[in-house]
Amino acid sequence: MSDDFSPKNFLSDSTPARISVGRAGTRPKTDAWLRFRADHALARDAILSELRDDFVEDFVKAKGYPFIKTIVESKEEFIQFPPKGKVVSAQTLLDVKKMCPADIDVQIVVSDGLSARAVEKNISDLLPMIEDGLNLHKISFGLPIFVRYARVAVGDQLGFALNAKLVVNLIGERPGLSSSEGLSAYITFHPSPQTISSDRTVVSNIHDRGTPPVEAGAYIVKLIKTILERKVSGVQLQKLS
Amino acid sequence: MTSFLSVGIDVGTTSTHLTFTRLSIGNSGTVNQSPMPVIDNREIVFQSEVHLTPLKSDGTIDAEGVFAIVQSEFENAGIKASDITIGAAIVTGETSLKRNAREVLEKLSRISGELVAVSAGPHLEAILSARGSGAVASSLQKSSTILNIDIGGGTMNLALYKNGTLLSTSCIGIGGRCLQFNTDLSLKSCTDGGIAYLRRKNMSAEIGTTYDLVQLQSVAEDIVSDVADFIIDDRKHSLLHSLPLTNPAEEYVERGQIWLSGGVPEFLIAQDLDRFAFLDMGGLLADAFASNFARNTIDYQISKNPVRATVAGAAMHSMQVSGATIDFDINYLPLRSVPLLKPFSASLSQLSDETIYRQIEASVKRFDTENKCTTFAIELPEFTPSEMRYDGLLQIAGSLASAAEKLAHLRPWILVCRQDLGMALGQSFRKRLSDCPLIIIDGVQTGDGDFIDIGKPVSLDQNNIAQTLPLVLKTLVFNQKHTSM
Repeated sequence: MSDDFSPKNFLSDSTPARISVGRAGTRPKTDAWLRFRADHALARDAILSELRDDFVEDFVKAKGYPFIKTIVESKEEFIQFPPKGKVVSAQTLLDVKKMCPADIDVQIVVSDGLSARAVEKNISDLLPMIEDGLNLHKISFGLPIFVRYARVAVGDQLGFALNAKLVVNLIGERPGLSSSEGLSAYITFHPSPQTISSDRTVVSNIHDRGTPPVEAGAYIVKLIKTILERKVSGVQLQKLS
Repeated sequence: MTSFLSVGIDVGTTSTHLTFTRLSIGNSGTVNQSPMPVIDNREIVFQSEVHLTPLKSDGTIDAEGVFAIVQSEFENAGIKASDITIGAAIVTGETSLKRNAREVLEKLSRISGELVAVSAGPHLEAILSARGSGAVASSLQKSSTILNIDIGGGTMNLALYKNGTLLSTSCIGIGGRCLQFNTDLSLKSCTDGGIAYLRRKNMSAEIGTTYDLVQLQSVAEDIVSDVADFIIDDRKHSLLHSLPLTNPAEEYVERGQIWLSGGVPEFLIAQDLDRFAFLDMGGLLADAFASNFARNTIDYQISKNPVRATVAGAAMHSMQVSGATIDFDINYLPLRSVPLLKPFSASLSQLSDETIYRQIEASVKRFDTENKCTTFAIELPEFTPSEMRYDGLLQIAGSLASAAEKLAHLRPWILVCRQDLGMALGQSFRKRLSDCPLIIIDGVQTGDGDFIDIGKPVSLDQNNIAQTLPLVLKTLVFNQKHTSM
C-alpha cells in the first residue's frame, strides 16, 4: 500500500515523461539511461521505417486500396528533401484519376509520414471506423489512397485532382521519446494548390495510450460533418461563432 | 471559457445553509488533441446565513420552513432559480430527522432550477465534507494522509484520504445534539447515544434533570475518548458500537493529519463563544476534542469555515463532467435520478448476445420489481485492449444493440463507460440499430454511485463538436439499510 501511494509513483504514474528516475552521481542511473537509449532508438527506427510488405499485401491490397508514392525514391531522400514528399508525379496522378471515383465529399489519404509504424498499428481500427461513420451520415467518399514517402500536403494535390470537397490525411507523426506510434488526422476543406497550413483542422495523438483509434475515428467523422456543413476548416473554423 | 452556476443546500441536524458557486469547465487536452474537459475553477459566489434547521413538533424536518429559508436566500443572493445549471441538496445527520427527508428534498428540487441532485447518505456526506473542508486538496497537493472528521449535530462523518485518493469513510451516530438543554440548562431531550453516555456515568437521563459543568465535561470527554480510540484502533470495543456506526474505517494505523470540520469545531475558532450557545453538547465536545488531541499529541487542524464544509462540498464537488467525445440524443436531457445498473462482472466479449441481454434484463428486474421504470443507465465493464479494436468494439456494440432491440421499453438507452470510447461505441451501435434514442457517456468513474443525474450538454467550442455532460453520481438515498444510519 505505501509503495502504491508514494509521491514518486503517484507523480510518475501521471505522465509518460521521465521524472523522478533518480541519479548516480552526476549521471542518470543505468536502467533509466538504457531505457532512454532504447526509446530514442525506437523513435529513430520509426522515422526510417517503411510500410512492411505483409501490411501492404494483407491490408492495403487485400482491400483494393490504391498504393502510390510521391516523387521521392528512397527514405533517405524523403528525409533530406522534405518538399518532395508533398508531390506525386503527373503519371501517378493520371493513374489515381483512373482508379478512383471523383466528385466526392471526402477523399481519405493515408501517408507513412515520419512513422510508417504508426500507420500499421492504427489504421486497421481507424479507417473502418471513419468509413462506417461516413456511411452512417450518408457522406460520399472515394477509395482511400495509401501514399509512400508522403507529407501532409500531398493530400491537397490528390483531393484537388479528384475534386473532393474535403480531404483527410491520416499520417504517421514525428516520433517522440514517449510514443513512436502516434497518428494524426489533417482535415482540409476545399484542398487545392493554394491551401496553407492554417486551413487544416488537426486531431493528433491517435494511438492506444492517447486517443484510442476507434474513438478518434468517430470524432473525425463528427469533425468532417461539421466542416462540410460550415464549409470551412482550420483556424477559420475555430473563429466561427 | 464555459462556466455555470451551482448551488449546494445542506439541511443538517442543527443547521441549514446554502452556498452558490460558479464552476468553470476547461480543456485539459493539448491544442490538437481531442478535448478532455475538466472542472478547472470553483469560485464561491454567495454564502447564506447559517439558519437553525426548522423542526416540527414530532422532531421531523419542517419542509415548509426549509423551503422558505432556501427561497429567501435565493433572494438575498440575487439569484433566480432559473440561473442554476446544477445543484445538490443534501439532508445530513441524524436518522430521526431523516424520516421525511424525501419530502424535504422533493420540495426543494422544485425551486432550484433544471437539475437539483438530491443526495444523502453517510458515505457521501463524509466525502463532501472532506472535499469542502479543503482536506482532499491539501492531501493531493502535499502528497499526505489526512483524516477529515466532520462533527455535526447528529453524526460525525470520517473520510480518510491519501494523496487525494479516498481510502475509506465511516460514520459515528453521535454529535453535538446528543443532549439538548433548556435555557436553564436542564435536560430537554437526548438521543440514544446521549442516554448511553449519561448512564455510563450513572447520571440520570430523565428530562428536566440539571447537571453541573464538570459532569457534562466528563461525558464529553468520554465520548471523545471513544472516538479517538475508534480512529486509532477500531477493534477496541466501546459504547460507540452500540450506536449506529457504518463500516468501521480501514485502520487508521498510519498517522496522518486530522482535519476537523462541521458545526462543532466552530467553537474552537470562537474561543469566547458561550459553550452552551446552541443549548447542546457542541461546545463541550469541541473542547474535549482539543484537549484529547493535545494530550495524545495528535496533529490536527481546523478547516477554514468548518460549518460550511459539507455545503461547499455539495456545491462545488458533487458534480463531474463526462468526456467530450460522447454520443447523446439531446431531446432526452436533462435526466434526473436514473438508476445505475452494473449487470456485468465479466468483460463483454466473453459473453454471448443472449447472455448480455439476459443479464441486463435480470438487473433491471432486480431493481424494478413492478416494471415501472423505463430509464436505466447501464454501466459497462472495463474494455480489454482487444475490445478497443475495431472488430471487438463492433461485436460489443452489436450485442448491446441487440439487447436494446429486445428491451424496447427501456428508452432512452443509456450506457456508461470509463474509457474514452463513447463516440466510437455510439457510432458502432447505430450501425446496427440506427433509430434507438441513445445516450452514451464516457470518462466517468461511478465509484459506488447508485443513481446518476445527467445535465444538459455544455459546449467546449463554438461549433458544438466537443460537448460534455455535467453529471452527479448519488448514493442510495432512501434505502432502508442506509436510513438506519
